[in-house]
Amino acid sequence: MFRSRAWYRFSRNPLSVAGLAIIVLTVLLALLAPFVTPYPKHAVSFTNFSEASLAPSAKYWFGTDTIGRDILTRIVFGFRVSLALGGVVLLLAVPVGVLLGLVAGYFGGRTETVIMRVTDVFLAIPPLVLALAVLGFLQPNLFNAMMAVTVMWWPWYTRLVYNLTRSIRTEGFVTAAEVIGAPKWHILFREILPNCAPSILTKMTLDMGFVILIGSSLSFLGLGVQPPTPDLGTMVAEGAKYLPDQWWISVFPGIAVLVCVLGFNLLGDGLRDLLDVEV
Amino acid sequence: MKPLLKVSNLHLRFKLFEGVSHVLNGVSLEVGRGERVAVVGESGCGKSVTLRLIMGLVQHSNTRVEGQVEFDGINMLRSSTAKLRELRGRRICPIFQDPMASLNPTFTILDQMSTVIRRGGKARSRQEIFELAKSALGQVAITDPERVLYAYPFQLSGGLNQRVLIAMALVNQPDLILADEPGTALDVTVQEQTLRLMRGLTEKQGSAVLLITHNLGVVREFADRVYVMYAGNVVEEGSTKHIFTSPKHPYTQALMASVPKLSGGQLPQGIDGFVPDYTKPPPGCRFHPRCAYAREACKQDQPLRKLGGGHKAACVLYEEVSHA
Amino acid sequence: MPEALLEVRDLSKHYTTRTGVVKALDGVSLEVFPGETLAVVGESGLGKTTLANLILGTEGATGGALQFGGQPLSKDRALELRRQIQYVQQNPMTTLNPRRTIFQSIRVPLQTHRIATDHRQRAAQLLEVVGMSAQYLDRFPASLSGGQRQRVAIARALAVEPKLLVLDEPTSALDVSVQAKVLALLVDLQKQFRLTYIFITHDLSVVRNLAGRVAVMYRRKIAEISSTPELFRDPEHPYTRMLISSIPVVSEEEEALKPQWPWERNLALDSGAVSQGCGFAPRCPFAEKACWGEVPPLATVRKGHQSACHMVSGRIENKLEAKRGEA
Repeated sequence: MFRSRAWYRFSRNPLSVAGLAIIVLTVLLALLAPFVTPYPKHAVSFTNFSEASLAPSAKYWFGTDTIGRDILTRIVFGFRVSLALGGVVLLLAVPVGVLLGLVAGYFGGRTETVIMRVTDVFLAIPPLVLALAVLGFLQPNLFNAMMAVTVMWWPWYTRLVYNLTRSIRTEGFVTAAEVIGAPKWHILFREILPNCAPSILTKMTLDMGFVILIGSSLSFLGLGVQPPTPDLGTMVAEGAKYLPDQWWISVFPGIAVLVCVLGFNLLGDGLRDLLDVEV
Repeated sequence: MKPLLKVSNLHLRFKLFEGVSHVLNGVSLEVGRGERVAVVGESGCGKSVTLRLIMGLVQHSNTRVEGQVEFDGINMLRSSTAKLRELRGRRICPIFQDPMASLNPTFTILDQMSTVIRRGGKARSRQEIFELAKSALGQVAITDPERVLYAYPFQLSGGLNQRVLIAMALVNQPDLILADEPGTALDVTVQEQTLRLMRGLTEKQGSAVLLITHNLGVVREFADRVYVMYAGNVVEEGSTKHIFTSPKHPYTQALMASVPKLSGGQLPQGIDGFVPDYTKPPPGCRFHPRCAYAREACKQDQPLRKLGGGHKAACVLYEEVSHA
Repeated sequence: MPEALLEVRDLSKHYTTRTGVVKALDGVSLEVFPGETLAVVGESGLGKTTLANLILGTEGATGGALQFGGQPLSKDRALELRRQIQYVQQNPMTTLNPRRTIFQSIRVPLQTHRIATDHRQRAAQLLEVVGMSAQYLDRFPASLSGGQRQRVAIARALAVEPKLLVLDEPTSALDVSVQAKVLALLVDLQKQFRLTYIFITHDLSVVRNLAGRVAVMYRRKIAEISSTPELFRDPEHPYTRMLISSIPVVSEEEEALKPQWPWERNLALDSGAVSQGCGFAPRCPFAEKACWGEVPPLATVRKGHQSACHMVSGRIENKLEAKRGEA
């Protein structure tokens, strides 16, 4: 009953349905990449100079790159890296951020001051700059890129959950639990956290897009995923050298990033309206 | 004489996931010039949405409105947004429940009153507007209007803000004031004061008032005439005296008996059962599933039956009376 | 007189802010006896809820003391002491967690205080006590009406078998037809479980029918305490008189019971005048020199009837008489 009503309301917003469709398609393509792509072998190290730098055609829909690999195939494999990056970053950053936000928002006092000032410092530094700084110390590779993005991502959740907790802790049901003498962990995780969930979920959806974008940017700058692993950001960077003549090498991966980010954003906006939350 | 406001056979339907919610089921009411009319009912009876319809504030893709709202010969449901906006603020002014929510916290009282006064078009220069605002506040018994004018809403007490709102609603001398539970967000002494001021000033200016409330005591102290609503229907209408001394509809009677009495003694009974689901309302009289006098005939629609002296009740019990 | 269950002595709550000290409660003393209903009435936002919070231990006092059954009662109290004082709050929309089922809400006190082994059975039993069927256990609050939610909140409070219930406007957000039902339930439960109630409200008509005694608060202090019939018959404090005269009633008979108040009710509030003495002086038509200088103590007028006013009732009557003469 609740689910179907939620779906009814969700389905009345064509843009969020489109977003959902894009994401489902992207995830399916990424999961089934070896089976749905025309040239799975082209994903990593492969050369075929006789068919290098071909424009889009019936054989190679999105053309080939400078060493003859099918761009469509590499884009689909690139989704795997992007989604994995987004997923891992959020899986690490969100629990940390949420926990700190709950604690700071509920207990207040010195705990709040310490947590929130540290959070503020992180939030004051532009995310990309922070990631670049972290990667300055570390080897540029996928794992380190994930760590760098994680380090700059948790404070957003701390601040979100902190603000929510501050307003929820004065709600009647929290007072009721306090009067009963319920333990603190119960109040934090059973009373307050479930009421933050819609906002957290919505923000995560929106952030998936941004994390993918930042990951691609890092790769573009050569600080993230290293060749020959197929990554959308790296592909754009490599192709950029051949613009505008061989435009397809960088434009198609660029569009792929755009569509993926857009999908998460549309879905996130739809969820925000549906769940009536602020993020 | 034609009434100032005439609402006839108003139906409102919302399309929801669960089906079509039939929120207003043929509401008719009238407000004469200078008359004080109250619509009383419990939450969900449709009184607030009726008020919003009259103001032209219900516009949504999944609503369907039927019937007529006529204000001084103007068809409110067919008028353009621009026309409605011109009427609101000049000839029709609202007073809402929570004064703090109705005033903008980032502007001074003077700023907000100036906006209202300019729309009314009675004063143009800054000096004229200031004088008019000052005298308007004086009218609602504010003893130091200048301090209040330069204050922000959060610097004033709730009772004071409530009076500022009354002053704002009255400053353009509108023909009709639409009041939604004014003062109930505050304590009884402020509520009493609010009603008394509204009563005195509207009488002086000749403005009519349509008051929406759930508080029967407030109705008795304020209104000339009363409409009692239940589940999207007017079930009874009449003069305040008729309604309070001899309520006819079983719902009105039960509601009246639910109010705790100042004379003490014993606690009231209340009404068993629930307000119906508007997507599947009971047939005929919507009160019959909760009514002690219910009978088979109640499953047919019940028109308002005339009981003399403008007193009407939509109940099968008065079938014979109305024939006579 | 039996021994008091709850004793409130000179209780204060002051907040220190950048601009000075804000008083939320200022030297309140009262007693609550076992099995009685004491109503606390007064303006919204001026001390009633703070008093409730201090009694419930969600806030700490900055002055004075509380005693419950002879034991001192502070913010950090033993779980057992916490169990004995429970709470039903005003807003039925927020009193239950919207993301937890009715059973999950009622289970919290049972788990916290290790009461009953079969929580589900006990929860069903509690729902029955408040007149609801067990089929509601797995529902979410959103599918319940306001009255039903308040019933669940009452069931949750009763789960730990408390002695004292603090009822903070438990019915003011409900329709009158529902309010009557919930009030009847409260009266019933009080008899059945020998409960003591502190009933905080602004609705004097409800107080008249429900409470044995009434404490009237004005500006964070007690203005008057008396048995209910006497308070309505002979209000001593001018504020009480004004309050009762403001109640909107539904019949002529009740109108006749209201004391007269031929003065404006809020005017002098605007001037921002702050009195050194009685907090009511700026609104009081009887205020004299003494009222502006000295805080009137809560003094016994008759047995069981105290009022904090410099005036004696005889003089109020004289002024009323004079006013009638003018008109």
